[in-house]
Amino acid sequence: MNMNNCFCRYAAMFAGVLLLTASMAVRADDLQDANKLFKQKQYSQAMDKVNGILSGKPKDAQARFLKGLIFTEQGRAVDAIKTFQALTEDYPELPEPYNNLAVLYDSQGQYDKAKLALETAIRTHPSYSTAHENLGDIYAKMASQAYDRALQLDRSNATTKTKLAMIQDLFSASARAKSPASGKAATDIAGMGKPQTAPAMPAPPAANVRASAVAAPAAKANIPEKTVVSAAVDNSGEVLKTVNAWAAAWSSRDVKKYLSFYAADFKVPGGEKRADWEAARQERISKAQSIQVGVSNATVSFSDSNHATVKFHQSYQAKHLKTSGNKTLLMVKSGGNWLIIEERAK
Amino acid sequence: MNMFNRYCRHAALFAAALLLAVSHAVYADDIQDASKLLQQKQLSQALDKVNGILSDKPKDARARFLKGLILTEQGNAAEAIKIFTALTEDYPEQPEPYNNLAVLYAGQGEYDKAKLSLEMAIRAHPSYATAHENLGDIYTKMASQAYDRALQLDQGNATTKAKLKMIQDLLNKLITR
Repeated sequence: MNMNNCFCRYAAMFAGVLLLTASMAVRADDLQDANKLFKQKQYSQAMDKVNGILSGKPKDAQARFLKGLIFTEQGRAVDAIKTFQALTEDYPELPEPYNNLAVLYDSQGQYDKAKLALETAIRTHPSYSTAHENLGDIYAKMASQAYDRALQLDRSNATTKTKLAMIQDLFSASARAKSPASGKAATDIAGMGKPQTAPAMPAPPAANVRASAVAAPAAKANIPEKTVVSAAVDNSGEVLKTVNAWAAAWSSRDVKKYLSFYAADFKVPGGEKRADWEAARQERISKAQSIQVGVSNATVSFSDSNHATVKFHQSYQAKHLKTSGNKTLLMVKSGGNWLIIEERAK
Repeated sequence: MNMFNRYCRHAALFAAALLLAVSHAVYADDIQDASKLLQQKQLSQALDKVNGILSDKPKDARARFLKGLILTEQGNAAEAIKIFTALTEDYPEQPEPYNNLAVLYAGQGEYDKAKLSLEMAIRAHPSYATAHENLGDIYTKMASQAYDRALQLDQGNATTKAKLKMIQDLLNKLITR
């Protein structure tokens, strides 16, 4: 389930939704223009156009759907989710908005929500193969997470290592295998566009759909920047939230919670035993009468979607001690949570 | 999550269960004998031994656990499920009965139930690596099912085909291991 695939899917859906209506040539023109702008990646213009349509017909399904796609491409996942969510409420019988919701949740690492959305899509349309395939991707990712967690808890387990490696291969290989498959999907779209040719949706948009769908894989193969960027944008929020929660637990001297932010394989400073380190932290934090930990100027970078480095300025104020300095946390995503594997102070 | 692995896990769990015990030399001997018989695959003798213990102490956790393992080995999944379910009710803080329940459910293709049991095991014991690994296996199987369905609906989809093949290779690897 990657951006390229979704893009094709969106395109497919868009064509599908267009099939549903056939009214009003003006609006159809506007919508077509908006769609064209969207395909040309002129997102802000496309958005203006769509908003224009929606100011006349705020409940228009196709315009809202397109707006959701534009938000998605703009990396505005939260707004896109709201848009598709509303569509699922107004049109619970349509599987596509659920599928797109799932793609968005997936990109935010919210696999449980993605799974639920796909299951709903499948309930209304049991033969919607895209949703089944996406569900398979979600399960494979959940498997990968579970193996990863198992391996963190038991580093030496060779079987788990093999499984994790194999399931990760699946994603890289399916990314490689993508281009011919997408080409195929694009042909289907063109076929879909044909029956309703003349009135609402003439051939050109279908051709556009095909063209962009074919172009996308190349971009994906060479520079997966789109996926990476959106992952970074979405996940840095998660990571920062975790760092703030860690600082808050520390400040409120909730030792149990504070320690829960450290991964099982946290690299204990000075090679101390984990238990000794925990005991020392426990003593120090619980003995302090007040602690105020502040985090500022935080930056997050990702080596991959499950590993982040957070650099920030930490201020620490206890009753008799006030310090500040730069800190770096290396974090790993495990079981849906970001955990600290290394803590460095400068 | 396959038979061979499962056996290893049961054995490991059993060893852990034994560690918990201290009291009554006679009782400990009986449990040990039953365990030995199980390991020697003398299942009906092992079951007799365990039933003997349970006639005295019907709520004994270790004997019940061992009985669950024996029934599992005998292929009596329904009875084994009953025993492990009862153990999870009496000892919800112990992750092992949940894990074994999950293995049994998975063996019957009831992946949703297996998943729930493993989630309970992990909730009881977040650092229980076996449960995380088994959960990974369940998701792998669920992924395989989903790809399979997608492919049935869209036979020509090369991507789905590739994914399904890779995930089946993974599952085969687990079985031959």
